[in-house]
Amino acid sequence: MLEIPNLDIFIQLLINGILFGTMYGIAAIGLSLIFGTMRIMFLAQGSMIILFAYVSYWFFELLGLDPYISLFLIVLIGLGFGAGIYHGLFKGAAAQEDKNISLLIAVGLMFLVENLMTVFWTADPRTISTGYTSLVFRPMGIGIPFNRLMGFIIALFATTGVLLFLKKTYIGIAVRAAAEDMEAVTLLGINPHRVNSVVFAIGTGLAGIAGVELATIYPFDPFFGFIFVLKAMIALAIGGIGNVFGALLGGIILGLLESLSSFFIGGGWSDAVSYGVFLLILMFRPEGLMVRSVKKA
Amino acid sequence: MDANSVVIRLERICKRFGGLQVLSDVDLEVHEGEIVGLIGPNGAGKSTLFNVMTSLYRPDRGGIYLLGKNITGLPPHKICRMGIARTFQLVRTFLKMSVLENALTAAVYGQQHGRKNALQTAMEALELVGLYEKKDMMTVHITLSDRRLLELAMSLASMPAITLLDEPMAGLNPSETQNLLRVIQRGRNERNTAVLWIEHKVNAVLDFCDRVAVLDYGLKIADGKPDEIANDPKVIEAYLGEPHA
Repeated sequence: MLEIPNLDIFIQLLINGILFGTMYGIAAIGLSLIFGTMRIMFLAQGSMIILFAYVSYWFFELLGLDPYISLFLIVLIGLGFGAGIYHGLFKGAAAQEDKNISLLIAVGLMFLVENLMTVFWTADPRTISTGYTSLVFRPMGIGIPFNRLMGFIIALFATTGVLLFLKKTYIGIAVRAAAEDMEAVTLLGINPHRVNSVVFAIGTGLAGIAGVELATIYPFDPFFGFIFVLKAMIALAIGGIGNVFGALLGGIILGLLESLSSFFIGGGWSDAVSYGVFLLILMFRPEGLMVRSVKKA
Repeated sequence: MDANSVVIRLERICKRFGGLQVLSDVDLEVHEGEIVGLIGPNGAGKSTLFNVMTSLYRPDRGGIYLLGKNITGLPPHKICRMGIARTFQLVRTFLKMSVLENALTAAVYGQQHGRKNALQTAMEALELVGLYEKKDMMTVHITLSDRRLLELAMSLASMPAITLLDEPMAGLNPSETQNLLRVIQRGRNERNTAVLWIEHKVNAVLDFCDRVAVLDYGLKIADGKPDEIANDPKVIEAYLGEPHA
């Protein structure tokens, strides 16, 4: 049975969908960058996000650090951690023809991080509640939760940052080139491990941003990461791999889809709808909804 | 020529894939400013030789010396920085990037010492091949012939000691071919870069190169001036098949 909602509720659903969806988008950008040069889905991305959510939770509980301040710290930690993960775990496998090895390492990393988090923080859901957690702006009567608005703004900054990095820096241009043809790139003098560690650094830095966002708006537990990476993959399927802005937009569309379907069809249905859309896109538009297919010459 | 001007020297290169001996004891030298053609029937091992020289494959035996230094087994990106540039039979420019970004990438990462004048180096290389006006176009939107020129510009932008050209004329029409030949010659004259050039069009090689080497079933069967090569019975046999007894 469809209810006819009043306009206020409808707008509220849209806003919540958009604001929550940016988190998927941020995670999807990281997946897209890593896939670009490594040719694997970095399945541990979701667990990284949860890990950083816990880190910001700890910063808040133990040191009293406001999440929007610890964000900068966490992004820096994420950048370093990502490069470390690449050099420690993936470097040897990246040189192999068989990408399944890297994929399995990512899966192993995901389970390892999940279980370590359970040991450290138990499986109880956590969340950060600050003085402004329930703060809501009401411009023109429409309620906009402060935390989600902040998340949205931070996501926009992060996306712009990634775009500028890929467009304006030499190493960013090299990353784009590597996503097209890794072998040709090494023959131009680019160290493949350098571009790979850069994409891991950025991907994990973005996971830091998504983690802080998550911790401020939603209760999380160690096993939420896997669902999160699946959602990011759906966002990627909508936006198309290799398209930074498309990934963010894909995340937002997915957020809208979930928010609307859980209201109109029923709470339990939102996941079913998103996975259904995922399959439909993969079947009929595997290159992504928002990608004009470029035929290779 | 004196030994000092040797840019690259291959010494008894062997490469085998499974039971197939693709290169057997191949020796080859290229000197400064020299354009050397590398010809041979299909499957003679020409492209494999390039892949060995750029370290995509490691030779089973033998050594590669660039400007006197042993570079055998170094990773490909280091070999490029030390001075070997190459182009591909199937063009491998980066289609989603602009023409200038392509050349810039080569200039930034391909040169031994850096990125200081990378932009200028990239511009000069585009100028030399005649693509300067198209520098802001997306590579996916330029023609095949322009992409081949862009690959040449990229190789020049990395300031190589030697450029390996893998069938640069494949798929080009006669006037595009003439233009490409002019560009190759200009690159050599202005930069004094050595060129090793795989080509199927034997006549072009015989007309254009200072020296020609011939591979057949992984063996170097001839190496000399173009007119010697054209009349070498072993070469004629390799191309036309064994004469009936």
